[in-house]
Amino acid sequence: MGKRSRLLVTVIMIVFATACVKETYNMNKLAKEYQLSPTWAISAVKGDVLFSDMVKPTDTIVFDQNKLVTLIFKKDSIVDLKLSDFSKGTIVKTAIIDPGTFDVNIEDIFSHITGDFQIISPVLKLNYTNSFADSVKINLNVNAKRGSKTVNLNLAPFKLLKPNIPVQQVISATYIIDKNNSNLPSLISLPPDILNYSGSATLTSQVKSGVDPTDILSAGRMTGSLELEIPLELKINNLAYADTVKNFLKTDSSSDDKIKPEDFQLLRVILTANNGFPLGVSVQMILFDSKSQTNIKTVDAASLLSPAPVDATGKANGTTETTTTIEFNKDFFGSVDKADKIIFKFTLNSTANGIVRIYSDYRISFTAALVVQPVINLN
Amino acid sequence: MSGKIKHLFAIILLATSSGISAQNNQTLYFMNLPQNHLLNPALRPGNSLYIGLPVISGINLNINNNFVNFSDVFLKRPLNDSVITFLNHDYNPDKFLAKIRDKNFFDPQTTIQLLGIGFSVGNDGYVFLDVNDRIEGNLVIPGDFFSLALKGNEQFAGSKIDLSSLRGSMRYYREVGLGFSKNITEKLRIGIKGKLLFGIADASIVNHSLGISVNNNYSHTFDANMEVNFSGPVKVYTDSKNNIDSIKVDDKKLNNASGAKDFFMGKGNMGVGLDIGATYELNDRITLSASITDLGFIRWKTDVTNLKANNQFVFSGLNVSDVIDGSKTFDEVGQDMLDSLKNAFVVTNTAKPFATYLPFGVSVGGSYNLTKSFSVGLLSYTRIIEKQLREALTLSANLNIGNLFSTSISYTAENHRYDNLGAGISFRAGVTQFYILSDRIPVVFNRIKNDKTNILIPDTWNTINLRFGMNIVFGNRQKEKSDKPMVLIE
Repeated sequence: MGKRSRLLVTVIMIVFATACVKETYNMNKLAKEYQLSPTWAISAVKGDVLFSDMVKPTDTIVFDQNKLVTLIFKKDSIVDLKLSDFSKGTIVKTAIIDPGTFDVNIEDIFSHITGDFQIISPVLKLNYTNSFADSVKINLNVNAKRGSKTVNLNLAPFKLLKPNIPVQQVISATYIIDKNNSNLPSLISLPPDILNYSGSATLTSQVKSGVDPTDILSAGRMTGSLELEIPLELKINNLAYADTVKNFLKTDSSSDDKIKPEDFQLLRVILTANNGFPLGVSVQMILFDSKSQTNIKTVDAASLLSPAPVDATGKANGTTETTTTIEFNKDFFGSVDKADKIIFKFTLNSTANGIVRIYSDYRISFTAALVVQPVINLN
Repeated sequence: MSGKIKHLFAIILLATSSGISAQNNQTLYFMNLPQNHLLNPALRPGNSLYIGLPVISGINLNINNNFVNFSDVFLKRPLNDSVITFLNHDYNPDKFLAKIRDKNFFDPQTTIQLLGIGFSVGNDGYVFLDVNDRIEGNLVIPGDFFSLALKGNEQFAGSKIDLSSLRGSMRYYREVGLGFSKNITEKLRIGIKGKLLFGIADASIVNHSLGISVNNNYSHTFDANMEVNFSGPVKVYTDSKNNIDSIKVDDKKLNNASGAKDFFMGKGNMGVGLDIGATYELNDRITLSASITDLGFIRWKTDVTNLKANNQFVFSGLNVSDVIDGSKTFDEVGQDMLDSLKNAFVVTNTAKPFATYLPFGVSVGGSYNLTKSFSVGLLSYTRIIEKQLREALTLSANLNIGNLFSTSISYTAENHRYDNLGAGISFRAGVTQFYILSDRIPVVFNRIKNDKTNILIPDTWNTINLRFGMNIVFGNRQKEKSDKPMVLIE
C-alpha cells in the first residue's frame, strides 16, 4: 500500500480515536423553567377631543355665545308674596321670605378635595315679577356651609323695580348679585355643600300702618326665583382630589385570573399629551397598608399634563406638550400584596396658578403607549 | 392499508423534519464509488457494472444550519453542576443572540436511492440510470425574528424589523435520471444526465416583502407581500371576508390504495432536470473537473393552493375619542380595531399551478495524483438556493486501490465553520460493495446522562452529514485497462 496509504489510514484512525467528550451534562439537574421575557411596546390608545366632546351642554352646563363654560343652578319660587302676606286686617310693612336651601349636590366630590380653589365671577340672579305699585325692598340673607365653615353673602338690602301703574301692571326683572355688591365669590369658592337663604320683603309705600290697604295693594304680587351662574373663570392652586379604593391589584389566591401582577417584570405607561386646557394635572398612586398606616410604594406622575399658556383674559392661546413616563417595576409588583388599599391623588393647577377661563372649544390630544415586559412561562 | 400509508408518510415527514438531508457529499467526489456520478456525470467508477438496490444502495442524510449548536441551547452552571436551557431566566439572551446572523438557515435534505444501474459501453462510454426519492427543505429565518421573540419589539423603536428574508420551502419529489458519459478527446470527458421529475408534495413561501416598522411613539406599520403555495393534501378554508379560518390536512386521498398510489407517484406534477459535467486530464498527474447538477424545475398542478397577501396595516392605538364623546363604547371601538386588522390581511385563495426551481450546485475541482492510487483533491461546491449561496471548499486525501478499497479523508470549510473533518471508506467483498462516508465526523461530543440514558451528542450541529449503502458491482474496468501483454512484440 505504501507509506502514504498507511499514513492516511493512520490519520483516519487517530481522528476516530481522539474524539473527545467536552462536557458531561447531567439532565437530572436540568432546570425545567422555560420562559420568555421580551419587552413589548405598543401604542395603546389615542384620542383628540374637545371639551364639548367630553361634556355635553345641559340645563346645568351651558356654553355661552363666546363658548365660555358656565354652570347654572336654579331654584324656582323662592319667594311668592301676595297682598295677604302684607295685610292681616291692617298693613304690615314687612313680609317674611320663607327660609329654604339650595343644594348644589357636590358634597360627595368635594369631601375628597383640598387646596386653594377660587371661582372668580359667579353671579346670583334674583329673577322676579312684581306687580306691587309700591317699592319693595328685599333683604336677602344667604350663607354657604361646608362642614364647619360658613360664608355669608353680605348682600345689602335692595329695591325691586315696580310697575309703572297704570300703564304697566307687572314688571319682570332681574336683580344681579355678584362680586361687586356681595361676597358671592368667596361664598361659591368655599365650595358649599349647601346654600341657605332667608330674608324679608319690606314695603316702602307712604301708606301708614293701620290703614285698610285694599285700595292700594289689591293687585300686588311678587314672585322670585334664584339662578346661580358660575362661569368657569377660576384660579386653582394645588387643588387635590384624593380617593382611597380597595387594592384591585392584589391577587386572590382563589382567583382564576390567568394574568397576575407578579407575571410582569415591568409595566411602563408613556403618555404624550398636547394640552389645550389651562389646567395642569399630576397624579400619585400609593399602595397603602391600612393596618400599619404606612405607604408601601408610591408611583408618581408629577407632570402628567402641563397647563396651556393663557392670554391676559385667562383664555388659553396655545397648547403645551408633555411626555410622562409612569413605571411599575418588579419592586412595585412585589409590593402589591402588602397593601390592602390604593390611594389615588390628583392635583390640579391653573396656568401659573393664576386666573384662567374654560371654554368649550379647548382641545386635548393624547397618546398612551404601553411598554410591558411579561414573564411568559412556557412550561 | 391506510394506516400503513399514514405511517409511511409520517416516517418520511419525521425523517425530513429531523433534518435528514444532504447538501453535497464532498468526500464522495474523489472516491471510487458509482454514486460519484451524482456529483459530476462525467465521473465513472472503476467497476464495469453496478446495480443499486432499492434503499440499501444509498441513503443520504444531511442537515445544515449556520446558527445553533449544542452549547447555544444548553448551558452548564459550574457552581452546582445544574443545566439550563437558553429559555431559562438565568440565560442571558444576548449571549444566544450574539451568534444569530442576519440570515439563519436550516436546510434538511435526504436522498434515498430506489434504483441504480451503471455499466460501461464501448471503450470509454458509461451509461447510468438512477431513481431517487428526494426530500429537501430550506428555511431562512431573519435574525430580527429571534431578537423579536427573545427581547421584544421595544429595541426596534425608530427602525424597521426586516423580515423580508424569511422564506421556506419543503419539497418531496422523485427523479428518474438517465445519463451518459464519454471521452470526447483523450483528455476531455463529458457527462450529461437528463432527469424526469415527479413532484409529490411541495410547500413554499415566496416573500416579496415583510416587515414591521416601529415608530418612536410605538405605533406600528405592518406590511406584507407574500405568497404561500402548496401542492399536497392540504385544504385552506377562508371565511366570507377572505380571512383564513382553518388549515386542514385532507387525508381522504391517502385512505385508499388508489389515492395513495396516485399521490406518491407524483405524475400530476412533472418537471425536468439536468446534470452536466466534465473532467479534463491536464497531464498524467493533474485532473480538473467541473459540473452543474440539479438544474431543473417542477410544475405543480395537482392539489394546488395559493395564498397571497399584499397588505399594509397601521396600528397607532385604539382611538378612544368616540368613547369619550359617548358615541361608542370601548368594546365597540376594540371590535372596530379587530375588524380593521382582519380586513387588512385579506388573503386570496386560488388554485393556480406554480413552478418551483430546484436548488442547483456548481462543482469545480482538481486532483493531483501522487501515485497511481493516492491523490489529493481540492473541490469547491456552490449551492444556489433561490437568492442564497452556500459554499463549501474541501481539501481531501484519497486512496483508491482498484475496486477493492477506497478511502478518503477530507477537510471542509462550510457554514462559517472551519473544523469540518470528514472521511469515507468503502470496500468490496465479492460482488458487494459497502460504503459509508461523512463530510463532518464529530470529534467533540457532550455526554448527556440521566437515570436511564448515557449518550454522546456532537457538540457542533452546523453540519450533520452521512451517506451509506451497499452496491452490487461487477468487473474491474481499471484492471482490464491496465493489463499489458506479457510479451512485447516489436
